[in-house]
Amino acid sequence: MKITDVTLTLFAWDDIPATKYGQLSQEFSGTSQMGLVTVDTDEGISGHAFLGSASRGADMDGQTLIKYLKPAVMGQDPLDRERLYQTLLKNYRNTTPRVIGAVDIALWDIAGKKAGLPIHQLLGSYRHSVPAYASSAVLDSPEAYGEQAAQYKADGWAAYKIHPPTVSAKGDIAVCEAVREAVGDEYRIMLDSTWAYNYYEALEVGKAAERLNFYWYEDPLADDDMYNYIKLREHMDIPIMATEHSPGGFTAYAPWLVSQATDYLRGDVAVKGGISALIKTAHLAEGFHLNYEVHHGGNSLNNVANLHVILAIKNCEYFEVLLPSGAQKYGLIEDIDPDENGLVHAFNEPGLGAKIDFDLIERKKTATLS
Amino acid sequence: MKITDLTIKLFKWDGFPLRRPDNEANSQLGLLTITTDEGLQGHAFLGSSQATAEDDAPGLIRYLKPLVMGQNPLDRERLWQELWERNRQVTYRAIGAVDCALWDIGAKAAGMPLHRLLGSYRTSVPAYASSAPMDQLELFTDEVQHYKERGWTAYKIHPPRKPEYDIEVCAAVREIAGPDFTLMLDSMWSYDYPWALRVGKAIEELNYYWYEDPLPEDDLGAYVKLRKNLDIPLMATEYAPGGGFTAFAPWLQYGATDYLRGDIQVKGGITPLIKAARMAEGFSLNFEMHHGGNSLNNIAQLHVIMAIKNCEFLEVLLPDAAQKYGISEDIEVDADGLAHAGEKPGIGAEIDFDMIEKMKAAELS
Repeated sequence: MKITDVTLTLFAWDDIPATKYGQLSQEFSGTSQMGLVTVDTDEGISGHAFLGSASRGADMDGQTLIKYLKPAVMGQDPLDRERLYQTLLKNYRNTTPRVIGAVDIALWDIAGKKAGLPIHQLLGSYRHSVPAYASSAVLDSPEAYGEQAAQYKADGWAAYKIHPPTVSAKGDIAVCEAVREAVGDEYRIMLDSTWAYNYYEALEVGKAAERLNFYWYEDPLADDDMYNYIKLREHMDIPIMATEHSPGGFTAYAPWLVSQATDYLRGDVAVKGGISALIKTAHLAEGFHLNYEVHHGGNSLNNVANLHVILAIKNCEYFEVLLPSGAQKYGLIEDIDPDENGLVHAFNEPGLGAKIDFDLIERKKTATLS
Repeated sequence: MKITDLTIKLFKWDGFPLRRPDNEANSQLGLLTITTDEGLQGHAFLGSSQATAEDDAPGLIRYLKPLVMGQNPLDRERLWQELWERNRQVTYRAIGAVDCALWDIGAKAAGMPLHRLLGSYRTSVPAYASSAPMDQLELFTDEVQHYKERGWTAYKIHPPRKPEYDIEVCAAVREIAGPDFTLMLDSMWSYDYPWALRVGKAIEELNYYWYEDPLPEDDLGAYVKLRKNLDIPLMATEYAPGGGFTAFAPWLQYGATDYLRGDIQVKGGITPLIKAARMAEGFSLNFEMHHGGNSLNNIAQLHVIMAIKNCEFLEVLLPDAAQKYGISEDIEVDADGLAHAGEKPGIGAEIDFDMIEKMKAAELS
């Protein structure tokens, strides 16, 4: 089996609602460019992935895919995934983990289709469904967070995570209090402070989250501030979650483990470079009896790839559904949606198994790179 | 797909050379067969010339068979986690054999050789000849010459375990093999700290490639100290206490070894080998695969080596007569010292069913 072509079809995503997840990520709205990556083979099997998100268009990364990664895979056997992944990784200074991730996902898609198996079974399944949590955008007021959390609780979702405004520690604590008040003592809630605080703010907010019985406390400090993560973790009784955007790839988790700077490892196919990176990281975490809590994937097909990995590992508790849908879901005929028990279910068609909306993509096509 | 049966056919293995005078020169291997409602079967071998399958088979049938009966064999990760929970009732060898047969089914269901199911990194790997534990210096020097002449690129000594004499053996083998030939020493947990350091310094001078298991397998603190005092890479964790792949964590955290190590029998299957290889890769270390104890395990492990970057060699433990049995086409090392991946679906071993039937001692189900 040989790879005969790699193309990137750019297609417009319009009417994206104004959305923000914290002070570090700029508010975005309106239009973005998504990319459909297609890897063709001489056996007629094609693999797919989506590049880009509502906040960062595929047009930003697309050229590097064609210029640096396409030549690395052309003519190669797509089933030589590990060799190709290692080759793709060597290009990480020329491109982004998002692009490496997209190519890797398309290779897994080919393998699943060739095997006639969904990717979770190709990996070896651990389960066929997983609880989902709703993960907020920044909302206007503590009351708005409280109302949203109560709604998802009422809809049967397993948990709710706050992305607070991160304008001030006090303001974020007020949000945490309003949500706890709205959902009652028992409902599972988490806080993701998007790298916003210095150590003292992180401790102040963390102690409030501890008092309010939060389930985990995510990214309170700068993504590379291991020194203060170690110190903070020593002062907290609730688990600290870091490493989603910690510098480097899969091999950069090691010092976080050695220094005991986090209670989980974290990442997704876009920020860490594909299904290959995720499965390796999950196994690394498992070796240390830690969970690998998979981060949302930034686009619909990435989320499908994430879900396959989650279904093939023991050490991930939740599937993250980032809100709002209008800024996260696009390009699939049937997207991932939790059932009335708050569970999301496996895709069981070969490969990624999700139905890509090729008609929509054709209609909204703006360019093809090859 | 559902698992409909699991059986073990025990078959005799007689007349292989003694590894140690107190071993019996006979053993039994077990052919494990998992059958599914789709007609696919997965196979594994249980046992070795050192550890007869007679000891492990009853526990496997009693504790592990009920866990997999009626289950989907493609739910490998869930099944492995459940099998692993039985590790106080059964041996890692038994868990490893069931896991191995499940991967065989998985790759056959995919219509791919196992290394392609995993995602291939390469299709061949250098092999090293790994001596039996022998007593006489001349036996080692003859053996290394023999393998070097046949194109092999590396040789590992399992020495007499008398440290002063072991140094003499290492020096003599270096002399015969020449300055550039790759040589390793595996001292099989036999030294105390002072002797481990003396031998380590000596083989460092002799340009040995790695220094394996000089100290007792649970002496993590001494390994940390030894590693600080040696320049030659130190290899431990083949038998790190706890057995499971989660027992590697302290060795990484304390910097007690330069490699992780294991095989299907000592770590409980293909699943933990892949996990351990990824864990080692996360620390930019190699996972150097240990020989598998029987022919089918070695073929399965060769697939795993093909799918990972961070393993340099296939270990071929000598002599063949005590390691190779039950397979009609065993792993052969070519004139360049390379072992090659199989391309048949599944583990793809040519199991010698006729011979197994002839040598059958018992059938458990």
